[in-house]
Amino acid sequence: MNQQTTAWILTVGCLFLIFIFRSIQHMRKETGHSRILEIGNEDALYDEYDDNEL
Amino acid sequence: MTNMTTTNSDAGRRAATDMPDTPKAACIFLSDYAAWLLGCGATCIRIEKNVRRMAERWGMESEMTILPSHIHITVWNRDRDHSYSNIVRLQHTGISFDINTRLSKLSWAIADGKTGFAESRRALEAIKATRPANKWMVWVLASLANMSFCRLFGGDAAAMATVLLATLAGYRLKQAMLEDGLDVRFVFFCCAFFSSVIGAAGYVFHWGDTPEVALGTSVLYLIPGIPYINSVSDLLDGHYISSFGRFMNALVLTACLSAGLCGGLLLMNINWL
Repeated sequence: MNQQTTAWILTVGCLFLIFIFRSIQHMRKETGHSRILEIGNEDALYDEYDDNEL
Repeated sequence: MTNMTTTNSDAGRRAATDMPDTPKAACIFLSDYAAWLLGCGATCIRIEKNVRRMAERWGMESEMTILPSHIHITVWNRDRDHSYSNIVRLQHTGISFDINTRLSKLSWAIADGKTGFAESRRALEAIKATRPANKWMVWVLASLANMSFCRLFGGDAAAMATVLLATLAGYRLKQAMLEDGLDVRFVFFCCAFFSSVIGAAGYVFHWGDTPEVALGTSVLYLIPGIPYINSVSDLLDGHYISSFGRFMNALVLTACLSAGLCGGLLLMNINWL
């Protein structure tokens, strides 16, 4: 396999991975399992065992 | 039958007499209308004619200045002792022949007295709420159209198949990146890059006899044809600022497309000279 073929496969594979990643991201948003992506957004996180208010 | 005829003539009479009370009301409607017409890709002469037609129906006069991103409209009453001016930003709705046609039909309905002012405002809101065409249908049809371009330029079956795949991938990427709100210039660069790499499959895997046609037509779906055509139309009608604005916008997109294509050719080590 020469350099040209390798570059082609890598580029097309990269595009394919972008589509797959996007589909996964889409499915996560639709099913509500997207909290893992909310890095740093601590206001959205709720700890049910947090009893500071008691 | 008599009741229906009476009802129809009553409705027609109401439509014919229902007009904006003040130049302000007319100006706000006309400026909103013009902004949407400009945003959906209409030429300046069409915007001018439509707006003037409606203003004349309502016994008013209008003048407008059309800029690349804004419209400045002034409406006078017939005695020219009362006027109202409004500046609106164009609506970035994307080029839509459907909205363009419906807005033009609305202007004719108003001019012919078939639609009153209140109903016109409702009709305009309904047109603004028009849902875009099914993105999957557009995706498939654009890919088939680009494949047809390849055939028109003398591509064989292998080249056509390559262009179809390149366009399917590139157009889907374009839709995804635009949905994510990325800059359109960056989108064009990326789509042209990936489409040209896929289009170079004829060189890489020695498919068919016309790989150069496949490579050249794989990025044609990105060419901003309508802005170029509208630019020439505006130039012919004397709207030089708008013409230059549209031309520069199209030129920038073409430059980004070319950069992506060059990037793909460099990566594939294809000598295009």
